[in-house]
Amino acid sequence: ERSSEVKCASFRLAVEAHNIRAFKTIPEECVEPTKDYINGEQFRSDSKTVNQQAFFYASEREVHHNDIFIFGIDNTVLSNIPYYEKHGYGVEEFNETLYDEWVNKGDAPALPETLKNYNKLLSLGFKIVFLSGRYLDKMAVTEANLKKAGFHTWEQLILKDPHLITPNALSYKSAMRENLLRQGYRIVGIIGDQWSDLLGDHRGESRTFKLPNPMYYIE
Amino acid sequence: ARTPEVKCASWRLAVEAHNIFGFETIPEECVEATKEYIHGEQYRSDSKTVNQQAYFYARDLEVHPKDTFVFSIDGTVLSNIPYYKKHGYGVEKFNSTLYDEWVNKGNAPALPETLKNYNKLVSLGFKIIFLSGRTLDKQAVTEANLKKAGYHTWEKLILKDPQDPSTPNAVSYKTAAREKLIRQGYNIVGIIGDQWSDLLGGHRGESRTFKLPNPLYYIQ
Repeated sequence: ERSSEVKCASFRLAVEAHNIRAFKTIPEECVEPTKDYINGEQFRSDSKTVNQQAFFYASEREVHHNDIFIFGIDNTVLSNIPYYEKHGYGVEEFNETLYDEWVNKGDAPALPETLKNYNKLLSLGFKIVFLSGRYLDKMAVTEANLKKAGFHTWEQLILKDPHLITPNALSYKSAMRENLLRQGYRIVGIIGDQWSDLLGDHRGESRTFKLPNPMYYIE
Repeated sequence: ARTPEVKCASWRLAVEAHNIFGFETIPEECVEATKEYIHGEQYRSDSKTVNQQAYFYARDLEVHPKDTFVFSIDGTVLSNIPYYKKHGYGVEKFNSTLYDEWVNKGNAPALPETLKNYNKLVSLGFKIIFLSGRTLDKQAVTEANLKKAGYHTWEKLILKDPQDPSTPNAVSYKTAAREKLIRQGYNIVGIIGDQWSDLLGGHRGESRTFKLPNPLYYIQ
């Protein structure tokens, strides 16, 4: 029999490598290991390594004026750990009402390794586009929260029109990328904590970077 | 600064999630951490979880006669850890002469969690196809090694023709081989491999793919 620690480390790895998909909640026995992982040094180290890879890739490129990096928002640039630590680190089913209340406070801190990388990419001359599944009614609070957390500039902030009919995040993000390509942007990199940020169509010639997220899965 | 233990765990995770790719050797400072991972219980547990996911997926499917799981061989069904532990767990550059010598011994053990899953998939009625980057001159030794390790049956064992120029790398070789399988009427239901080059590329049919852990090397 595997200990919870070992078994849940395997769960987490399998989520990151996209072997485990579409889970609605994390396993009960993984709450403690997830908490230890998130609050220990490994989560930040994992985030650092991925952001570094993105920077290494970016730093070797010749930058054109329409070159962009696309970032997700929640748990990519802004941390929602303050929310999830009050909700069992993903063991509770997602509650949109409670989550929206939390988002509307506009108090989410930056994920520090992503913020560092964001600043470096800006210095290299890349444009930043934030592409989020947050709805349009969160525009003002999202702008304010990004600035408060240290993300001071961006080319576009794309939130979701609630009237737009897309079956899932994957197709929504593909459609938004198609718009960006049509507007003449060249997508150089995509950084997100969900596979639905990184798979799908209209990724241009980009490389994608999967940040760690052991707490939830967005289809 | 991060300890090698923490840093190398991040490195390993980034390899598995395909954030780090095209590496020729593992970082010097990760030799010890890799050794401990491979010989500790985590590696086997990680292999178990991935194989279980493949089985959970498979048992919910209705099985048709041409439904196939494609497995790679080295690092997927046969372990090459006995080789890599003598060669720094991936810190040395790949030496095809020495590796071929080792392969030709035909003594590679099964990866135990893959063997279990293989037996379950065979019981469910799926056909098994082994698709490997080993070259055709290894046919006899590969067949013997698979049987010795406990893999007694397969639909096809596909090795690489070294004369075939249409395959500049493993992704295109495996893609071309899958295209042929689909043309022969096989329905590829799942692909199980330890390299992203086993799992990416075209002609994957309607399959789901399963990435087994391998922190030792990367095949383009």
